Amino acid sequence: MIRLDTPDPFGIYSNPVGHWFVVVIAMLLLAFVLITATAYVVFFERIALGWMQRRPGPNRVGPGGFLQLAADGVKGLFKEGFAPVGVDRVLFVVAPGIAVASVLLGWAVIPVGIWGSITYWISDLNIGILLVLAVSSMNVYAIMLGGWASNNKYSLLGGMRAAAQLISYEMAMGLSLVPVFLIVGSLRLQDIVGFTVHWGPYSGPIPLLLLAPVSFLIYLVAAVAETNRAPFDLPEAEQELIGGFLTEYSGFRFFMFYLAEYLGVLTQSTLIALLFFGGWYLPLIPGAIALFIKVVLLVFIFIWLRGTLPRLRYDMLMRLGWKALLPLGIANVLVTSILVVLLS
Amino acid sequence: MIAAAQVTYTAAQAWSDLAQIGPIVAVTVALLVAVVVDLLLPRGLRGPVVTVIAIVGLVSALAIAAYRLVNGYGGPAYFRFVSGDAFALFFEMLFALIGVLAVIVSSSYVRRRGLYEAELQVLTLAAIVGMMSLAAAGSLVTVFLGLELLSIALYVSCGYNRIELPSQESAAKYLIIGGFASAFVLYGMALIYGATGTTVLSDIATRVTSDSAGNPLLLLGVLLMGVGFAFKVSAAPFHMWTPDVYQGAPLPVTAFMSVATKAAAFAMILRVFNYGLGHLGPEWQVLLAFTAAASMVVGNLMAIVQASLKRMLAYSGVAHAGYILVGVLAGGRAGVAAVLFYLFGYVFMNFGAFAVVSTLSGPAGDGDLYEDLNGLAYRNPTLGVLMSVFMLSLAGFPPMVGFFGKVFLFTAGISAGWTWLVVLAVLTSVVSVYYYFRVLFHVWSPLPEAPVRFAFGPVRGPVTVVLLAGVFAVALGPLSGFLLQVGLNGAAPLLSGR
Amino acid sequence: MGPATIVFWLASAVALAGGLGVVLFKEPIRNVLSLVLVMLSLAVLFLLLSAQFVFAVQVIVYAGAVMVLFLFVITLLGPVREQGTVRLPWQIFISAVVIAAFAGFLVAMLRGVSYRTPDAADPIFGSVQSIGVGLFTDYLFPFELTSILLLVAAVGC
Repeated sequence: MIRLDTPDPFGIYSNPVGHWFVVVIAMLLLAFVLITATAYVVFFERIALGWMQRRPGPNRVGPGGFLQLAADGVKGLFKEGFAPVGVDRVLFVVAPGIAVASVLLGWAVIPVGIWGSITYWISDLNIGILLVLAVSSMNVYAIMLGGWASNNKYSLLGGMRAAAQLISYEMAMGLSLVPVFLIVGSLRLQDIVGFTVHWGPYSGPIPLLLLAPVSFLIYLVAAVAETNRAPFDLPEAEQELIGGFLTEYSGFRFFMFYLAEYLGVLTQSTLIALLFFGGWYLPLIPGAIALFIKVVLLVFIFIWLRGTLPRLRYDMLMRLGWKALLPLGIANVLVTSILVVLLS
Repeated sequence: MIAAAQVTYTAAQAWSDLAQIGPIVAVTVALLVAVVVDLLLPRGLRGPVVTVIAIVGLVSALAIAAYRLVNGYGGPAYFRFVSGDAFALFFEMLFALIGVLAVIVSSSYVRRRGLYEAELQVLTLAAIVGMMSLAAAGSLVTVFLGLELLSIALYVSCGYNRIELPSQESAAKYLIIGGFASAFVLYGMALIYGATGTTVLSDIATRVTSDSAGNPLLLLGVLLMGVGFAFKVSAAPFHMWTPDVYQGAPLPVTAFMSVATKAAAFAMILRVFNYGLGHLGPEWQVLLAFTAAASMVVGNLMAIVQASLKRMLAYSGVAHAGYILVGVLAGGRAGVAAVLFYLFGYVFMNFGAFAVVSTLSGPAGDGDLYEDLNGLAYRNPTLGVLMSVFMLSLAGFPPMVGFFGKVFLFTAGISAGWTWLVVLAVLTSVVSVYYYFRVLFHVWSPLPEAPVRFAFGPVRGPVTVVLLAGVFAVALGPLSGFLLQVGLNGAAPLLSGR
Repeated sequence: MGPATIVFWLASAVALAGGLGVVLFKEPIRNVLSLVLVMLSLAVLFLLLSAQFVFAVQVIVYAGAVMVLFLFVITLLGPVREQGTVRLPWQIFISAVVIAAFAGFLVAMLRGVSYRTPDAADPIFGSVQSIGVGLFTDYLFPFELTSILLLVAAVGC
């Protein structure tokens, strides 16, 4: 159920018809905001990458290239959706849909602080962030099925890489969050954001980054791997796999994969902001703007990583996942739980 | 925000629970230490060190079990999910003993066959942990986990000699059939849980009364679990996997699972059927009586025509499962005690026989044909004599433990009214004399003119084991009164709950 | 019929359809995807029973990890169909008879069965807290046994 965390203004929540009306409006609004924001994430990335690589970046369409994304979107929508011979028709079409759905579904439990004590969320589940992890792990099906259905060996290799990558990083990702749960004592994102400490004179919210720095590092690496972004973009790997699972995709279906990737970046940045940076709490600044600033900075980190680090080799990626992040994550859980018991 | 549930589990309780499962803990610790040591040591040292660790762990488990058995037994632990009662301790001692024997035999075997040593011992330890948990189980959850633990460890062990096709075949067959059987067991357990609302056996025992016999959920559950259990004890008509799996698996693994899995599976049947579902006796007894009769007939007849010793012993195992089921059917103090007695004796005679066969294997393969035994009595008199002892015991000749075991089983069966089954059992044991004596014929035949396929390598370990098993098989005959008393003690916890 | 009932029937129908798909599809990849469908609809059923944590774990572990490994192997097979040449001619008939007999047996046994009324649930039933506390008190022994089971499976492969 959708709730703004305020007293029921016009008795609208208790009225079933009014309630459904609010639900539909709010969900549509969320989808609209997200997809628009995604477009600007893409724009932001192209500008920032251009800046890092000392080239202009998009500057032709609109003032400062501002409408480039609109032009790309229109182009993507109207291009022919070409499917080569021998593809598995059903799966070829379904895969991009799964990609977008798996990223959007996570927003069911992600809360957004707006102003003062007004918060927006769709569903308040006890498992909270586990739901996000669960649905975002479905993303790998999109890549694997897309890669398989394309009937192209480069696509297939891309799909296999995605599967191996997911298996290697899912564990580290889950483990990195355990210290956060241990400290906060809840899996609900609302509780994690609202975590407060009472340290001597200071009493108030604190970014969990200070209490669980190792968790943040592991989660950041795993989140980059989860979104298949450089330096973990092995499933695409233009140079070796000529685009990997995307090789045979074009037009609207390609566009959907593209959307899913940047939506994923946005989702993960928001999650990291909520988990480790205190969400919408920033002194003197209203909630929505505070969250916006944090998300933009985190999106910039994603872009920065892409602009700076070369792609890892396949075996290096597996080694990093299983031999570095996983043991580190286990040690992190152990140390944190000992500290939590000692200090409580 | 949801309030956290209150935890009420004190340190004192934790220690007492841990003591209740002392033997399981000892083996588990050995298992964990072995895994770590295997990673740290240089390659040449791993095998011997892990073997020593395994033996130390098993012997200490044996000591703990014996100590607890002498100094009064425990009861339910860990919220009744496991139990440290006399029944559990009896089986824990049994499994620890088999474990020591198996570890020694396989250490020598893998060296002769040029296989890695450490992993096999680790898997054996894991299987023993599963078996002990199974025997100590106080809940269907523990039963299932123990069953899976022992099965998974044995699936891998069966395929341990993975460059050989028969070993692979054995592992694959066992995995598929075993998975199938586990699914049956699990489905049956789910139905029982649905009917009673609990997985704890003592609660099931109180909630299932004789007038719940009309509950179809319970009946289906019993049927499905019975089928799964029959798979696991390799009773006919669910025995088809047994010869193939036994033949392909490395010999020490075959020896170990032929006795230990059988004992563990019977412990499980006794716990679940005789104790948990005791009031449904008439229902599962029909099922098991049919299985017992089929096993005795099929096992004994099929054993006659086998050319391979492993296959012959596999079918003989099917037949013995049939005999033991007579005791399970008889139930009560006498029946359960007879089952425990028979299992204890059977372990040594059957393991001993397999251990003798395992000494015949070399780098070229396993010597498991009757002809490979030719002149054994002259090539190695100790082994020859002891092989004869095992065969006579399996056939049930008077001074041996096998004879007393059968006597106890059959008298319990007759006094419980299963006369037709006992008559069938006696008739089929007469048939079995034929194939056991065929082994004796080859053992005592004159030395063959042609060179033997398998010369003896360094087999001091197995010979020790064979000697030990032989001593047990002979000595337990005169000591049968004492062992029966231990069995009666072990049977008591299964009967007091109702 | 409340919304929960509708969801139950929908999820059950999808689960059954997925189960049939696992058996009936000829292409291995469709079999695997049907199995994913079964896992996901089972997850929905868990959610209906207010077992939120089990729902999440079902999706993450079964649908998200285990089935991905299945798919990993199956995709290597390429777009091939199962070759149906080894089937015996009368196999379909025999299996249909056996299936009908077993189904009839199940229906006959389960007709008119009186199900237990479920025990009253805790207010925190199904939450992460109750599962965590359960794992370390009531279910401690099975929990630890499971960890050894997984360790052995890892040693074995």
